[in-house]
Amino acid sequence: MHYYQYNAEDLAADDYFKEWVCAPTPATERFWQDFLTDYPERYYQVEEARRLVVGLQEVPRVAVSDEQVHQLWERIEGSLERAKVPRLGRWPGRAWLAAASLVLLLGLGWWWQVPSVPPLAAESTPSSADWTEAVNNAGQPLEVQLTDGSRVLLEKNSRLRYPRAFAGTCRTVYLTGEAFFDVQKNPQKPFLVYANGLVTKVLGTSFRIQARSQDPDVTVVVKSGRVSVYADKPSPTQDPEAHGLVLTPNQKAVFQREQATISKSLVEKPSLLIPSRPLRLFVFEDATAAQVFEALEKAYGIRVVFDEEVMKNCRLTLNLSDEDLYQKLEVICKVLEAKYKLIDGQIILYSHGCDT
Amino acid sequence: MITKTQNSSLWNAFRGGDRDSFQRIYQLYVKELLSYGHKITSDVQLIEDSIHDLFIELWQSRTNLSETDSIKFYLFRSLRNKISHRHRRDVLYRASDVAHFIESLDEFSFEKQLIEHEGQEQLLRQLKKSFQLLSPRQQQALDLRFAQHFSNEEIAQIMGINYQSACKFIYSGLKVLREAVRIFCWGLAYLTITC
Repeated sequence: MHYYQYNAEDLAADDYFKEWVCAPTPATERFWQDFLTDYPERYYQVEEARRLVVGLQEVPRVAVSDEQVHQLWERIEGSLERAKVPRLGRWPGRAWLAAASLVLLLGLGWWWQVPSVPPLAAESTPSSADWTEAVNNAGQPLEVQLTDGSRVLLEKNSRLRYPRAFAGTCRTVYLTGEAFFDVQKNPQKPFLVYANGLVTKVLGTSFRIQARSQDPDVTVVVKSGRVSVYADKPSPTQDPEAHGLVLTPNQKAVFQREQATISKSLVEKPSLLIPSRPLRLFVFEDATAAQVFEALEKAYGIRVVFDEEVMKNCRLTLNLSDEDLYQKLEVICKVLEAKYKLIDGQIILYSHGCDT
Repeated sequence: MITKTQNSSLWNAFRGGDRDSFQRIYQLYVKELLSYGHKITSDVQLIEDSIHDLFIELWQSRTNLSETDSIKFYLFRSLRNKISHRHRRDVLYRASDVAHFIESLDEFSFEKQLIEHEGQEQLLRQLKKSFQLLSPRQQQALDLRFAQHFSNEEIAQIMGINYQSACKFIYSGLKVLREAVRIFCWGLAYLTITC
């Protein structure tokens, strides 16, 4: 049959036509354009069929939440963990026992009446019942204590879903809204927070996540420790974490949900990491630039990048104990006639050097 | 979409016991599997249980699995078998369909059709409404064909029916849906409004 005789549903059901609509090549494009030039009266059939094929790529899909996907994975991992431990290992040594019991079982006729339990049904235990949800609609932050000892301070209008017990190889929770996390250290079981398409992975640290469902982006601010953030986008060839960022204290990551891009910058008010008094005193007497920047790096946990060769003659006598990081930088730059920029969560210094 | 070579190297790594590849397979296909599950049954727990069992068995029997260049086909077929196996006890096959049907009829007023007739979005909405009026098997076949891009032969195998039946479900479904995208009908709607 020639395509001229095809009606819309014939065309939509045709492999060659579908290929043109879904993944056009120069050859198919030419073929169908020629067809329409030759038979303009078939335009309606072609257009209707195209609408069917385009529409049907979307229409049958049922929206599936990331949360459902991750919960189901946790459940699968949990079952695999449990299936692994007790069964293997012991079995070979007790094979004779098994054989003996089998004989015994066969002998006892009434055993036939015991309903057989399918092995997989027995394993499919950790279902949605093992998850609970904390919702904070009050004005005050709500403290949630997790079973691993981690604490979550849930801000108002926020929700946190977490398992009653952390099974599997990861500790996974889901956040909508804003919360501060203080995670108990456990290098064997990374702690993962899924929030609006961004995954925040830590071993043990404290940080804040802002992921309001109406906001176009997600922000992660690190207070202590190291945090890795990456987009929740599975790929067949690459580890999604490889496309993420590692954050250190006083850095924050902003994840644009629409474009799925992550950028890194410094927090608005970097705080001092070192509690001990003597190190907090920024009193320098005829110190080299390198000494001053090193002190800043240590105190705030932020990398300072500068050209040691150019600035080798720069010396500073300063008292900066009361200023915050940016004020300190202002003063230092004024004295050294230098400039600074914040790039990628680091401080970059531009200087022409100093005269001796 | 991923290529055939990526597909089979992922599958082979998984068969070799690589847990990361196993997780990647899960993440690549689970949304489509869940979505497809909804075409077979409306029981979400049943869908989740079946996918859970499917992946547990997949991992446990990985060394006995053969080479494949379509993981997706393998997963879809196994899921269909699992769900229908567990489903057999249910006498009322997808009982919620009836409620569903009445609900969609309610929304399907001709007036609405006349007022909102423009744009791609409207087209999709229209198509969605008509799609819900189809039988579960028609929905399944169209999903496999147009959203999952399986061939008619594969669809027949996944659904456990013969080739002719698969083609029939697709074709009869398209025939109904065509009314939702008909150009002539829309032109008429314009006329009715202006007159």
